Amino acid sequence: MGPLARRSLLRLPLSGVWAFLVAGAFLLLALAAAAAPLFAEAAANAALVARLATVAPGALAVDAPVVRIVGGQGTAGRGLIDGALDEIPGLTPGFATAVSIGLETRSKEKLFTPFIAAGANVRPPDGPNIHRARIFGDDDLAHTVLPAPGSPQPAGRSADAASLPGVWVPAPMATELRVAAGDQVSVGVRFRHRTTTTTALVAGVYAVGPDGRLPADPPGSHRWSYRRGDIPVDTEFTTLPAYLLLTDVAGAERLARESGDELLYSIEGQLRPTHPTLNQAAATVAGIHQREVEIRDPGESGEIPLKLRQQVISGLPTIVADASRVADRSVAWTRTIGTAGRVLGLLAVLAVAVFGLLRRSIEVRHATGLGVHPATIGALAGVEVLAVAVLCGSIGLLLGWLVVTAVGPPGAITSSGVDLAIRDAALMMAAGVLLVAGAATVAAIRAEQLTAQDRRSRSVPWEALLLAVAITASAGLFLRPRDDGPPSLLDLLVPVLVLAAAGAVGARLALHLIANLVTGLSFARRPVPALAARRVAAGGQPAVLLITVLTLGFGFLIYSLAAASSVRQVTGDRAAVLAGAQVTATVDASWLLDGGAAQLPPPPPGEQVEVPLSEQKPVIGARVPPLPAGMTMVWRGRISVPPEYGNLDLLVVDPVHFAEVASWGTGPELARARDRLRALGAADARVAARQRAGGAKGPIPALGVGAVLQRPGDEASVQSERDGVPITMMDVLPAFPGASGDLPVIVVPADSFFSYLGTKDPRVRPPARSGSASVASTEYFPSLWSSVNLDSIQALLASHHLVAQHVSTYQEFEQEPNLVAARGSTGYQVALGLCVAGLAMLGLSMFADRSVTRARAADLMLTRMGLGSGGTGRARALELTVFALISLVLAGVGVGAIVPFGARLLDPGGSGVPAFALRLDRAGLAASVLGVVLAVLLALVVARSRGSASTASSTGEVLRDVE
Amino acid sequence: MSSEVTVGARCAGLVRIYLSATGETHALRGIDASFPTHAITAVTGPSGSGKSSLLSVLALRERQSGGELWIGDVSTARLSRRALRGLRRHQVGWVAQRPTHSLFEHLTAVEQLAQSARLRGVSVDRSGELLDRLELSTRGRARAGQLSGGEQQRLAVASAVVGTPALVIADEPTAELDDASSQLLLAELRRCSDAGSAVIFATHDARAVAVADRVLDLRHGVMSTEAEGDGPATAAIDSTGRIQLPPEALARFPDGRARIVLDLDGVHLLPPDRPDGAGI
Repeated sequence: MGPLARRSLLRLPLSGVWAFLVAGAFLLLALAAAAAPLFAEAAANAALVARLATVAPGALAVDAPVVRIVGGQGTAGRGLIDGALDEIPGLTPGFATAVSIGLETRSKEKLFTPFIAAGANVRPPDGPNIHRARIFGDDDLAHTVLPAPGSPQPAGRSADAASLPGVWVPAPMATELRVAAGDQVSVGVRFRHRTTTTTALVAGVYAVGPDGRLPADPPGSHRWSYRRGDIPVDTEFTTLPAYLLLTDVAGAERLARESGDELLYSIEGQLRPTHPTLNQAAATVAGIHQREVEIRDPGESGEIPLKLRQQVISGLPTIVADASRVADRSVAWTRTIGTAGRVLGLLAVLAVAVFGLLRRSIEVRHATGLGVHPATIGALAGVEVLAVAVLCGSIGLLLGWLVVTAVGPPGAITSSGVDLAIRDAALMMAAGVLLVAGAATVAAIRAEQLTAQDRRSRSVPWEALLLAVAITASAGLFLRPRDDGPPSLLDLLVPVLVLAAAGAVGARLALHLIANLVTGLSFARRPVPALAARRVAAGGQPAVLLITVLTLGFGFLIYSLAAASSVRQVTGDRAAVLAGAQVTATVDASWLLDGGAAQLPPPPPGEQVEVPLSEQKPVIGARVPPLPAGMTMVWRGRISVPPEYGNLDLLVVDPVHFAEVASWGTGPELARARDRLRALGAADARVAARQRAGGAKGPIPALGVGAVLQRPGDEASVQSERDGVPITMMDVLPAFPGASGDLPVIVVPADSFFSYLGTKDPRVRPPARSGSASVASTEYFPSLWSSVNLDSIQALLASHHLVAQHVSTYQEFEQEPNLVAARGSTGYQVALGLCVAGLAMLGLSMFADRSVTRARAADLMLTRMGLGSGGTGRARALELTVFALISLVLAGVGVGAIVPFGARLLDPGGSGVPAFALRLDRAGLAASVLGVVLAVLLALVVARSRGSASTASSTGEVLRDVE
Repeated sequence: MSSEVTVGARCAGLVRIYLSATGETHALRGIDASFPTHAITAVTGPSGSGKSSLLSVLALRERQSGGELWIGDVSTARLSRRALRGLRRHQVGWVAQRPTHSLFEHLTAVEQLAQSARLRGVSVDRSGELLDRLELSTRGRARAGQLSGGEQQRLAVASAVVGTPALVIADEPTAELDDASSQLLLAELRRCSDAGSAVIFATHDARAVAVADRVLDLRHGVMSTEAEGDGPATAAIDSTGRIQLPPEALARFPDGRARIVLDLDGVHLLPPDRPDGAGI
């Protein structure tokens, strides 16, 4: 190894600011390479966590992250479930259950009534001390039973051969039978001609859930909710679940054997850990599928005669499939940005390599003149950046992890993701080193060519070419059909080209303008500005290139920040429009929640005469149900508006409470909708008051949403099944919470609209003798909206003995793959923007370094001519500041030129409401201005340090080295 | 000069044309010259006369536009890139007009010599002596950028002469040096020449010209005169019969026209209106 090779290893780290520029390029490359797999894994795991969060607390096992394998009946069934979950990875140890199925399997018996009675060996007739109940064996009672107040905690096994089995009795039944823990009870079955019975001990009394029958889930557990679909039915009221006598499986077997019942065995396991990675969950799902295949094709075990079909019940396959879809879409969205990051990183490395070779062109010529092989020169260049590549690869990996953790999807990153990131970063670092070596080799080969004919140096009009390419690419973007897919390379290329073209053309114009202004500046009177202006004006090609790079850097930062905030805003707004509120749940009728609801009197006997709506009087006392804070009632209907008669959705809202409860996002469209809702509320109060006062029935104020044909101020009549209601269109809005369908929506206020309907007011309780069929309105479907959470809705409904139906949450809509992907990619894009801006900052520093070096002699002369070292320093600072400011202005112009393309470049769903708009936010502009300030400060530090070195040199040396 | 005179380099009809945005520049217009070993050849001439171009072509750093060039006995016209690289590595030592162009800025003085020796495949044992002779022994650990201009130029010469290559070519090596440094540098070039190299340098410096064994004077890309030692300068006639008159002779022909008279004594150039032999 010669001195050149030895010195190459540490040459770059000793190169001052140049080392930082090279390191910046390698860091960008490493970051781009490492972030992609880290992001992919975080996105995948976040998608799973988010999907798991959407599993409603009351979900059945088929929708929940649990696995239940139903083995079958009798000994064979028991044998099948033993170890059935062992082959499925990622599950807790299985707990067996055994449930009474005597009723279902003994079809020949006309009568099969399992019962419990207070006291031992009771063979009762019907009476107050007997109750229907079915056996349910559960080997995990300690975690599934919520003891009623005063009852002991569940213990281990409750029965053995010598002692009586212990059963847990539901609290209402215990009250009815007047039994408590420690009492003896009789458990048996009444058949048509006989009764079997056995004696058990009451182990405890358990609390029941809202339906008054099923066991209540202990806090944090949803096991009984999961099991709800598999609970045996009440032997008399078969639409209701049975009261359960809980015991362990062994106890259940003994009771069943002695009472003549039969059992169906199953085993269930839950995810372990609770929030696994998507890969782990996918492995679990693969195990589930394997188990399903084995059950469908039992092989040797197929000879086992089973009376009930074996099956695997689990929501995991669906959950994992949903999460995978979101993750795939997220990765697809970021793939382009990641690829662009890697390309940009490689270009940055190539740029610094080429720039470095320009700096060392003399050295390269010297080396080739000495006969050094070009490949050796390339290898030396590669060796020179090797240490930086290793260091930046490590830092880039760490930085990538930090960036993804900070601004990426909130998913876990495991060692497998880190391994992939290490591999990708290492590959990219190797590619970067090879690129540097390759560039140096090519430069050496060119230097070695003993050309007899010098090439004529012609200045290529690259600014004009760049402008033409940018215009062509933009036109291509406009002409391309819109789709909802992830961004393509063209989507990223257009902003880059537009910004670069704005920088190049703008720089040329700005320098020309400054050159014209320079003539008016007196060097004698104001030497510093005059010197700075002359230097800027005389900057030539390097200055144009610098401004182009700075414009691209700062512009891409502004664009990335604007894109991130715009995408976050539009995805939030779209989720708000789709969901309407944090939680919504449909209910049968709004008056069910209103104890003081007005009630219609029974219709008079005889033939009913339909009174037209226009002649209906408001029902006295009719009102929107008073609800707790954070809730409101919303009614939906389907209407048409003549003369077009197209279908429209109707949204009937209580304006005041709707404004408080609905999700309004952060964008201007929904802000405007909220503002107009206030006006609607005021108009509603006026119209409703007039109606109550018996005044003339005027048109109902309304808001149109979407493609309604009416214009503000138009009057129309909304037609439902029966009759028309006149409305006045107050305004037409682009978006409104809950206006989620493809149809246009008419929003009307509840008070005035329903008052207009008179006896058809859906808020009014029907007459007392109305059957259940008349409970629900057939035109206006009410739903309860909450700005809090599902628990608040469930608590309210439970207090009215109702159960939430068709629950939907904001989070569900937020999980729409395109929205998740677009949101997730914003952090990635911001990181990319920061990196590009960082490189631009280093570019300015390099320019400062080079300018000071080249102008050492001139600065020395100017200093001696009276300007002083302070004057030349100020002139340099002013020069750099002017370049940075020109770039910032051009960056703003460039981003302004991109704004019209915003929707095509970034819209996560082309047809979504509200429409996407790229908006420059203040934070982005402030960050860019801060970037400019930092860039100038950094460049000044570099210039000052280089200037100090020059000052330290002797005058003779400075003048001798002038190029 | 030693008695073992051979030719270090030789050129015939050497032409070098540069293209520029404004047209062609003929830097060399058919140079015929040979550069013997064991001798120092100074190439003189005013700025723009083609000195640096000639040296660059001789050092194989540029290819001639026309004509022939031999390094030793090897014609370079059809040599492969690899062979040319070998010639540059083993046969040519080069000192650029600016010393920093002949040095690696990140290597110390000792390392510069070691690198040159390594490339030429010779031992570095005598590099200490070389540095001593050029009064650089105390600066052995200094990088090129830490040396003064004179030190850099001496180090550049030291690097060029390591291993005594067949050709040592220097472009105005004493241009920016004081007298003492010049003397050291020229002494080293003489030592190299004595050791067998063909030393060629371009110069305006009378001190350097004084130590040269031969002086070639270029004007407008054409060899004007050639002088050896203290002998008279002889005008060079190129292969097409052209001859470059020295300025003082040219002044006698203000019309740019001459009458050629051949007789037994030689060839006489006479102004057209002066048949009395008032010409040359």
